[in-house]
Amino acid sequence: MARATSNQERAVKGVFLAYLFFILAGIVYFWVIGLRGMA
Amino acid sequence: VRTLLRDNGLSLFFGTIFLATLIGQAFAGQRVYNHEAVAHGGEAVSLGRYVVSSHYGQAVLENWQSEWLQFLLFILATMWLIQKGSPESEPEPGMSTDKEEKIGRYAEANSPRFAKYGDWRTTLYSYSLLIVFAMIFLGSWLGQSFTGLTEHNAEQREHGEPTKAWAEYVTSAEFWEDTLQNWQSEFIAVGAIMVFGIFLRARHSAESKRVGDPHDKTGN
Repeated sequence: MARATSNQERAVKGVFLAYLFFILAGIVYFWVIGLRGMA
Repeated sequence: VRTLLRDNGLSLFFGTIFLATLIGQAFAGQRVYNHEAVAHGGEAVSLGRYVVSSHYGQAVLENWQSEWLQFLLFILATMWLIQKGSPESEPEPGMSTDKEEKIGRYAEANSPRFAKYGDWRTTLYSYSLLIVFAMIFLGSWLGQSFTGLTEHNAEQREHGEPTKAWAEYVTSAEFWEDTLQNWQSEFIAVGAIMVFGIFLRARHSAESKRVGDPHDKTGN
C-alpha cells in the first residue's frame, strides 16, 4: 500500500478531522450560548 | 471522487443525516419555542435567533451527552465483561498482552507511531478512544447544564419566580429528569445490541455474526 500521501488516506484523515472539529466546535458553541445566558 | 465517496461511505452517510436532522430540529424547535413564547405574551424569534438560543442548545446537548456516555460505557464495559454468544463481546474475559496489541517492541513497521514508543505515549494512545469519548461526554453534559440553566432561569423570570444558581440547577429534579430520560434509552439499546445479536442476524453487516454462525459463537 502507498504511504500516507495518497488521496485516499488524506480523505480518511479529512473525515476524521472534520468529525472531531464539528463535535468540539458544537460543544464550544453551545457552552458560549449557555454561559452568556442567551435564552 | 467515486472511490473517495465509497471509501468513506459510512462517515459521509451519518454526517449527512446528522446535519439534516440537526437542521430539521432547528425548524421544529423554533416553532415550539415561538408557540410557547406567543402563548405567554412574548415575542416570536427568527430561525437565526433560535439557533443561538439555549432552548436549542439544551435540546441538542442533552441528547448528545447520552450518546457519548453510551459508547464510552460500551467500550469500557467490553474490556472487563463478556456476553457469551454476542458478536459485540470478546470470547473470554481478560486483558490483552503487549504482543497481542502490537505495541512497544512488538509494534510492526506500519503500526501507528504512538504504538511504537512503548512509554507513556503508547499508554495514552492505547486509551485515546476512551479519553476522547469521555471528554466529549463531559463537555456535552456540562454544556447541557449551562444551556439548561439559562433556559430554566428564563422560564422562571417569565413566571416571576426565583432563578437558580448552577449548583442548584445541576442537583435539581429537572436536570436529572432531562439527563436520566436519555441515559435509560441508551442503556437498554446497548444491552439489546449485546443480547439480540446472539440469536438474530443482519446479513452483510459488520455488527452481526455470519448468518450460519452458531448461537454460542462469541465475537464476529
